[in-house]
Amino acid sequence: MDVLSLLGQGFAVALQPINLLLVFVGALVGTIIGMLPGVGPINAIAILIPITFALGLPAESSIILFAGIYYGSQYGNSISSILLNVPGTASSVVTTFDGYPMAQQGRAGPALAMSAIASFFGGTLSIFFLIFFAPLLSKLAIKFGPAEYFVLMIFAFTALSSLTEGNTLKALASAVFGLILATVGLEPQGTTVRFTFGQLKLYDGLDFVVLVIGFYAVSEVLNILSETQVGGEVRKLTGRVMISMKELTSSFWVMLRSSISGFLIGVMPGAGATIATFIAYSTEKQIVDRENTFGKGDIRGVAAPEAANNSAAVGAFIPMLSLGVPGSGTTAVILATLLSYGITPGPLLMQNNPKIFWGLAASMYVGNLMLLILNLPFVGLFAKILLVPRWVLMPIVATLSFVGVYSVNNSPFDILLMTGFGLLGLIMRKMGFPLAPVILGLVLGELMEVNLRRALNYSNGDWSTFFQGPIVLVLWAFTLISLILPFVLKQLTQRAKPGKLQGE
Amino acid sequence: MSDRIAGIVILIFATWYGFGASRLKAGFGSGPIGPKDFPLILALILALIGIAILITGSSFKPKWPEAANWLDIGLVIASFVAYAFLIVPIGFIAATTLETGLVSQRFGAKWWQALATGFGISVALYALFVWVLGVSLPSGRIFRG
Amino acid sequence: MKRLLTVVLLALASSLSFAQFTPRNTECIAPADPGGGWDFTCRVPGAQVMAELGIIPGSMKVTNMTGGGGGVAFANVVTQRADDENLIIAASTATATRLAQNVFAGFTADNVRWLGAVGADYGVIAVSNDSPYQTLNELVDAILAAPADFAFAGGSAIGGWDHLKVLLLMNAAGAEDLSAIRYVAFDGGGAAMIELLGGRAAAFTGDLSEVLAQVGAGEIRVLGVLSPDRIPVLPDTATATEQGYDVIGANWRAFYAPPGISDEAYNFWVDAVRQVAASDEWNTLREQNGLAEFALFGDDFEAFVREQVAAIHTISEDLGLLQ
Repeated sequence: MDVLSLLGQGFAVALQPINLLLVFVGALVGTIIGMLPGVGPINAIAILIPITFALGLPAESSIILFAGIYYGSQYGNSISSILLNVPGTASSVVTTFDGYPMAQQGRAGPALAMSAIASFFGGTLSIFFLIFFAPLLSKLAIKFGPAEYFVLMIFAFTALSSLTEGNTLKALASAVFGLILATVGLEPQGTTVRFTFGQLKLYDGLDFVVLVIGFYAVSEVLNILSETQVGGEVRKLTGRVMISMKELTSSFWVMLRSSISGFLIGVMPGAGATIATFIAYSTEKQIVDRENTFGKGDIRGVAAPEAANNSAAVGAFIPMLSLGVPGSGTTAVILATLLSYGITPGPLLMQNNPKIFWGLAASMYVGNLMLLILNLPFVGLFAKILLVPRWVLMPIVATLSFVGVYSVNNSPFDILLMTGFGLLGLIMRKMGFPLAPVILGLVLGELMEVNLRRALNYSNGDWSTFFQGPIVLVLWAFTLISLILPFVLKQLTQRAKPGKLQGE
Repeated sequence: MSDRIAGIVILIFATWYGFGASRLKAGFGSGPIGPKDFPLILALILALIGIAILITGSSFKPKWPEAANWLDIGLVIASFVAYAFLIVPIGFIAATTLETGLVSQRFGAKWWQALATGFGISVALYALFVWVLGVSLPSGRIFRG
Repeated sequence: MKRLLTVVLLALASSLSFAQFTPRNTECIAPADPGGGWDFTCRVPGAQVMAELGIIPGSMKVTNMTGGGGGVAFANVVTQRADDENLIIAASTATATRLAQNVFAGFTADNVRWLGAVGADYGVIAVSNDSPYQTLNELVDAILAAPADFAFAGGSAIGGWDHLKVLLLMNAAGAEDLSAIRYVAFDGGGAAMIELLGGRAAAFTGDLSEVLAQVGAGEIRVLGVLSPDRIPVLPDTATATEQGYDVIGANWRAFYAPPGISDEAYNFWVDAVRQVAASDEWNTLREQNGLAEFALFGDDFEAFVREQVAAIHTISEDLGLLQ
C-alpha cells in the first residue's frame, strides 16, 4: 500500500461536505476558545462529545471536528498573548516575549499575521512528518525513557539563558522559584503531600492557568496602574497591518527549524508544546539574534514559538494514534472518544481503521489552510482591539482572568491565589526579577523531579544511567552547545563590530 | 540596597522551604530518591543564589509607584479579594459588574461609564461562557428562592 | 416514637419510590480531567446510555472536577452539594483505595451513598513479547530469587491500585520482604505500557482494558489475569488463581450520590444504574472497552464498598503503606 493512494483516500474523507463543514466549525470554535484565557480546547471537546453522539456522526467526523478545535485553539492562543500580554495557556507564554513588545510599538498587525503564518507553517509541515514518519517516530517515543526525559528537561532549562535580560542571578532565582512552586501538592511518585498547608485544593499542585494568569494578566493590570496617571494614553497603530515580504523571508529558516524541533518534542508523550516553545525560542535567539533584538519586538521571536507549538500539537497525535498513549490533555480526550466508538488506537489503527488515520491527516491539512484564510483577514480587526480605551480594555482583561481561573476548578480559592501571584508578580517586576523563568521552572519542575526519581528507581540509584544510551548523549551534546554557543557567537559578533553599543 | 533586601528575602524563603522539606516523611517504597530530596536540592540552590545576590548587590534601583498609584493598586487588589468571596453568594453577574466597574473607574472612566462597562462585560461573558461554552458560573445563592 | 415514624415514612417512601422522584437537569461529576476512567464512566454509561435508554429527561451534564485523586470532588459533594438529588459521581476501586488509605482528609466511604457498579476492569500482569517468561509462575519465581533485578511499571502512584495488585500477588506468592519489590509509577497505564515496550520495565501491572490493543498487535503477553474466571477476550490466558496465587483485582466502575438525598432519589438512581448495567447498549460498549460484567447495586454495593475499603485498609497497614 503506498502512502499517496492512502492519502488520496484520506482526502476523499476530508473533502466530504459534512467533514469540510465540521473542520470549519471546529477551527472557528477553536480560535475563539483559544483567545479566552483559562478555557482550553479540552472543555470545548468535552462539551461537544454528547452532541456528536446525538447527531450520530461517524468516528472519523467526530475526530476531524475535535482535531479542528485543537489546532484552531493553537491559532487563537497567540492573539491575547500578542495584544494584551495575557497568554491563555502555557504554550503561548513565549509568544508574549516579542509579540507584546511589537503590539506596544504599534506593530500588532504584522505580529498577528506572522503568528498565523508560522502556525500554518508548523501545522502543515508537521502533518507531512506525521504521514511519512508516524511508525518510525512511535519507535523513537518508545525509546524515550525517564533518563531521556530528565536530560531533555536539563536541555530545556538552558533556554533560561535566552530569558535573561540583565542580571543572571535574578533570572536563576526566578527559575528555581518556579521549580519550587512545582513541588506543591501530592508528590508525583508516592503519597506524601507537600506544602499544601492542609488545603485539599492544593493536592494536585498549583494550577498552571492560575499561575500564568496571575503572573501575566493580573500583574500587567497592576503594573499599568502603577505606571500611568489615571486616564492613560490610547495606543496607536503605526504602519502596515500586513506583514512584509522581508519579514516573511527572514523568518523562513526560523519557522523550519522550530517546526522540526517542536514536532519531535510533541511526539514525546508528556513533554508537550510549552517546552517546545521555550526550546525553539532560545535556539533561535542563539542562532539568528545577532543584533540582540529578541525580547524587544523581533518578529522572528513570534515565528519561532508559534511554529513550534502548532507543530508539537500535531506531533502529540503520534503517540495517541500509534501507541494509544495521549501526548497531551486534549489528545487524551480524543483518545477517549475513539474508545467510546469502539475503536482502539494502537499499533493496528492504521491497518484496521485507515479512514480514521488518513482522514484525520488530510483534514488537518485542510483545516490549517482554512485557519490561515480565516485568520489573516481579521488581523487588522484584532489589532484594532488596542484602540479600545483602557477603561474598557483593562476590565475585560480582569474579567477574562476571573472567568478563566474560576472555571478551572469552580473554586473562588483560585481567584485568591491568582491575586496573590499577581501582587507577587508586580513586586518581582519592580525588583528586576523576570517572570518568564518562573513559568519555565514550573513547566519543567514536575517532569524533572518525577523522571529523575523514576530513572534512579530503575537503575537502583546508579546515576550513570543519565550518561548511557545514544539519545541521552545527543541531548547532553545539545545542552553543551546551547550553553557554549552564546559565548562563541558573542565573541564573533564583538570581533566583527568593535565598539558597537548595545541597545537600551 | 533593594537587591540586598531581595537577597535576604530569598535566603529566608529558601531556609523556610528547606526546613519544610526536611520534615517530609518518605512513604513506603519511594525508591532511592524520596519526596524530600528534590525540594532539599532546590532549597540549597536557592539559598546559594540568595547569598550571591546579597553579596553582589548591584546598584539596581527599582522604580516604585507613587503613593497615589499604590492606593489604586491596593484598592484593585482588595476588590479582587472581595470578588473571590462574593462570586458564589451574589453570583457572577452582580459580582463582576461591581468588580469590573471599579477597575474601569480606576482606569479613568466616569461612574456611569464604569457601571455600564461592568454590566455589559459581565452579561456578555456570562452569555458566552455559560450558554455557548457550557462552563458553569455561579448564578448567585441569594437570588435562589 | 420519632424513630417509628421514620421507619413508617421510609417504608412508605420506598413503596412509592419510582413515582415520586423526577430528575431534572441531571449532572455527573467526573473527579478527574477528561480522558480517564472516571470521565468515561460519566460520559458513556452515565450520560450517553442513560439518555439513550430514556432514563433521564434530555441530556446529562458532565462536569470534570479535578483534584486530590478524586478528593476535591468527594469533599465538594459531601460539604457543598449534600442534598443535590440530580447529581451522581463516578467512582472506581481507586476511590476505595484512597478512602481506605485515608487520603481524602478525613472523609470516609460512609459520607456518601453508593449507587451501583456497571462493570469492572480486571487486573493483569504482562510482559513484553521478547521476555523469557511464559507463565506467571516463572516470572514470580524469578522475582522471588532476585527482586532487585525486576521493576514493575504501572499507571498509579506508589501505594495506588496498580502497585497494590503487585504487592498482593507477591504477598500471595510468599515474598518475605515486600519493600524489596520494585515498582515505578507513571501517569496512567498508557505511559507505563511504553516502559514495557521500551524494555525498561520487566513487567507491567495494570488493567485489562489498557493492554488489549498491544496484545492484539502481538507486542506484549499477558501472563495472568486477576479475575475469578478466564476473560472471554483472552480465553487462553490463565488466571492468577489457576496458577496458584489467590489474588483477585477488580477495578470496578461505579457511581455514588450525595449523602443527603431522599430515598426516592436514591432508589431512582440505583434503578437507573441497574437498567444501564442490564442494557444491550451498554454491554456492547462495555465489551469493546475490555470491561467485564460486575453487577452490584444499592445496599449490596454499599456493603461491598465498605468491606473492600476495610480490606484495603488492613492490607495497606500490613504492607507498610500506612504509617
